[in-house]
Amino acid sequence: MPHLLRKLAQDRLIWFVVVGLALFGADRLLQARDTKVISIDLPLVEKLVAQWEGQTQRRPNARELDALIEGYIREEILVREAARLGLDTDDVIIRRRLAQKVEFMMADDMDETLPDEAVLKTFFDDNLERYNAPETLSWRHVFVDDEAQAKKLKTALAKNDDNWQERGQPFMLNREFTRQSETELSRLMGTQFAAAVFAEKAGAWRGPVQSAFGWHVVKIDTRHQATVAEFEPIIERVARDYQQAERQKALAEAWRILRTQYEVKLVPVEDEQ
Amino acid sequence: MTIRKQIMAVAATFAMLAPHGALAGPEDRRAMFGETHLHTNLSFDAFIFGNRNGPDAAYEFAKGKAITHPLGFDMKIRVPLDFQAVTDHAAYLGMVPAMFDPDSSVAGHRLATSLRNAKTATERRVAFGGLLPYLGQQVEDDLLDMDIVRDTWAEIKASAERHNEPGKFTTFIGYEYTSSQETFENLHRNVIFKGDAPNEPFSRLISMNPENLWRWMDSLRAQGMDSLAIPHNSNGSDGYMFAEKTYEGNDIDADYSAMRMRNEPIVEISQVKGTSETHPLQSPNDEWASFEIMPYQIATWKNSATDGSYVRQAYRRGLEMQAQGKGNPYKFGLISASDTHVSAGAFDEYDYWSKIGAVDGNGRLRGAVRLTWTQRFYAQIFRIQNWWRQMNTPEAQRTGAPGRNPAPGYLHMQWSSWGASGLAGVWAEENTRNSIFDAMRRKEVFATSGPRLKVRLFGGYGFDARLLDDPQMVRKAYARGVPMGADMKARSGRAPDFLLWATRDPGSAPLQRLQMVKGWIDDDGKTHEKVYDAACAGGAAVDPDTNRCPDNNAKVDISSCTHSADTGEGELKAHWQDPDYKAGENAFYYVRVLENPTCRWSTWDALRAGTAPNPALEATIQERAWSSPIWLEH
Repeated sequence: MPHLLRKLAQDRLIWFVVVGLALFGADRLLQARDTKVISIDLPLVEKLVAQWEGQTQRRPNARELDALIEGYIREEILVREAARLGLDTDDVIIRRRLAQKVEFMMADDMDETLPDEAVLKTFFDDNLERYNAPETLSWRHVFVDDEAQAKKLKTALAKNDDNWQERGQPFMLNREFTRQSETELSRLMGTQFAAAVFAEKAGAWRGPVQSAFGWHVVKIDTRHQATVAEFEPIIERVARDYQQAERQKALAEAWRILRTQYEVKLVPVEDEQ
Repeated sequence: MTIRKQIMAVAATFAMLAPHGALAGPEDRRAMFGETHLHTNLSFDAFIFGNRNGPDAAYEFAKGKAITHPLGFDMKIRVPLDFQAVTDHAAYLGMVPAMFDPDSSVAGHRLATSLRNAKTATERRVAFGGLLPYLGQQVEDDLLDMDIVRDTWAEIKASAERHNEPGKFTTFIGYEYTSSQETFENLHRNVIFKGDAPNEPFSRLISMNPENLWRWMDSLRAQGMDSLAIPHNSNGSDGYMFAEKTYEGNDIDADYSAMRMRNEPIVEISQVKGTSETHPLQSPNDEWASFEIMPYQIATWKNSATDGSYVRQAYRRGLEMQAQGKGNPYKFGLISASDTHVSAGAFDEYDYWSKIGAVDGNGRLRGAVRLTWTQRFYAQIFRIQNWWRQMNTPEAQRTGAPGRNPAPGYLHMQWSSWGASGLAGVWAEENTRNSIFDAMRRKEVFATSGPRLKVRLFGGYGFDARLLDDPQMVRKAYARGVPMGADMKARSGRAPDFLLWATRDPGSAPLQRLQMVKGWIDDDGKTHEKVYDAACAGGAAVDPDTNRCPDNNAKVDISSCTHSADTGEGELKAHWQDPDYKAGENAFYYVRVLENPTCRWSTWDALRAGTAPNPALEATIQERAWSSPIWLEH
């Protein structure tokens, strides 16, 4: 037997296994003891002090610093105890926080570099509807509450409208509107009035057009055609939208990949008999 | 740096120094409409009523998108709003949705089960009743989880930030402080923040005494966080909202008055749960005083005392207190709001969904549509059940009994006395938080019962009737006088001039009459009130003896809900001087403008259902708007 032992002792493989086992055991022991160790190092203390300063706008004194560290120790121990008891696994708020954190991380990982113009142009062309504007009017009006007076006023304004703002009666809403769409106008003054104003020709004083409030002599200064947007002037907005869309896409893709790494098993309901 | 870049930089600096709003004068102020009182599914009661729309949905609704009612139909606003605040109940904020979440810390609470199982309107009401002892703090609070409250509040703040688009659509961070006296004497207020808000709202669970809320707001203001509290449903306060004493029953003094006005410059005069302008008992000589009266204390069948519950009387009381050297705690401006609990205000009579979701979401549930025989049978069983609960739970005893049903065949509910109201109007330079909040603080605001009526009021000396047709009227009125909401110093014993102006809502009825409401205090310290017509439809003259317009004969056909198209005005204007002015008498003056009568929501409900309207409910309504007053001071 001694011979056998001696022989075994000479076998390096055995030594390798024995030493390995010893190291492994020691490591486990040390680790177990480690969970009862709380290390306080300089970066941690600096962090605690910075938090304190953020709240109080001054540095803590020695007593306060002691309390801060003691508070940290208390929190750390309680958190470890909670983890040991498994309290962190079935708490809905903690679960949500953790899930949220991963979502934020996924969003943070996105590529923020600006793509070249060709890519943006393609994006712009694909989303043209978003950038086109409806027909709008820049127009003004003079208000009176009587039709006959309104007709006279139109004749007078046709001759001379230098002081148009001093004519007619005061009106509760604006006298002048810039780039107003038919929808916006109808919300303010009724759909019939809006349709009638949009049907008028630009350039001269027209009407009078009746609204729910009275009569309006109307002048359309500019009719802004429903425009097909141009790429160049709004390139920055397109870039913002592009990045937003890319972020959404990347987030969805990151989620899809994550999702494929998990198998979802449907557990059949057991028959109660 | 190139020269071009330098020029751009300088230009940019100037643009920052002189923002658009700084160039606008008061004559550039426009009327904007908004909602300052709205509950989403995060309010404990709204969730029980079946609401599943959160703050995001509420803002989408305000901007014009259709959202879903608990009963499954679409709700869409006729004209999008300019601004909105979501104001969920701070007490137990977000806790009821949490009870429905099987993973949450409160899912196992005994109330959670009854809430989850409530399906019918009756079960929902009973489940709601289970929460009342908690709100009344009559039981030990084993429910409150402040983590849930804080998380929910953070979500409300984030949603407001997401939807705030300066210049287009303004949101305010807000919440409801749902306080009361001991037995449901309503002292509710909405708190609206000018900008950012603290991490936790001040709720009734912290203190029921509104003075403590104001102290909290004062301390936040000192840190640069401004806010307003807006009281509502004074009509259901049993006299406590505008009382002569403080919450604790002490005498009001000048410090109290100053603190209250600093924190509560405006009041909600009208909303779904009735209008609080005045009551026929308070104003027997005002023919239009009986308007959308909701007679109960909130969430009960108990009658609410009228003394101390209505706005006009509060203004009078304020004059008395001021004369007694106590300051004036009731010098507030006026707005309306909806108080909807389905994340969407119902402002139009012809498109009404009331406010508590599955409990009053159709005409039968709110007593406007006649019941079938089977429904009447179940209604009787419910009455008996209710009577039984009444006998057996102290909580139900405190809320009182419904009393005799005035119209058998129809349900008799508190919400039968509710209505499609109302909107907040503000005169602001820009559609931004700063501009709108400042308008509220200076009380340049007005209230409507639902339609988008616009009202202006100016007071001053040396206005004359010609100014009404002067195209520069508004600029001159601001230059020479004061707008609604302001104090006006009396000059040398002369009667001041007023300019009154209102325009109709193109989507509602034309205007019938424009009125001035005056209250004053005489040498003996007694107060009085009087209503004067100031302009009439059809250009008719006001009778100087009665101060009334002739009847314009506007009619409503109840069988079709069509109304007179041949009478009524698009706008009404008046230059007005007080015929009863007496030098030395302090007074308040506010404008009331009335539409021609139209069908009330209950008549629309009946018409659509093909039954006769409930004879116990008003068939028609005269929609109206109120300006904030101008106070004349000697």
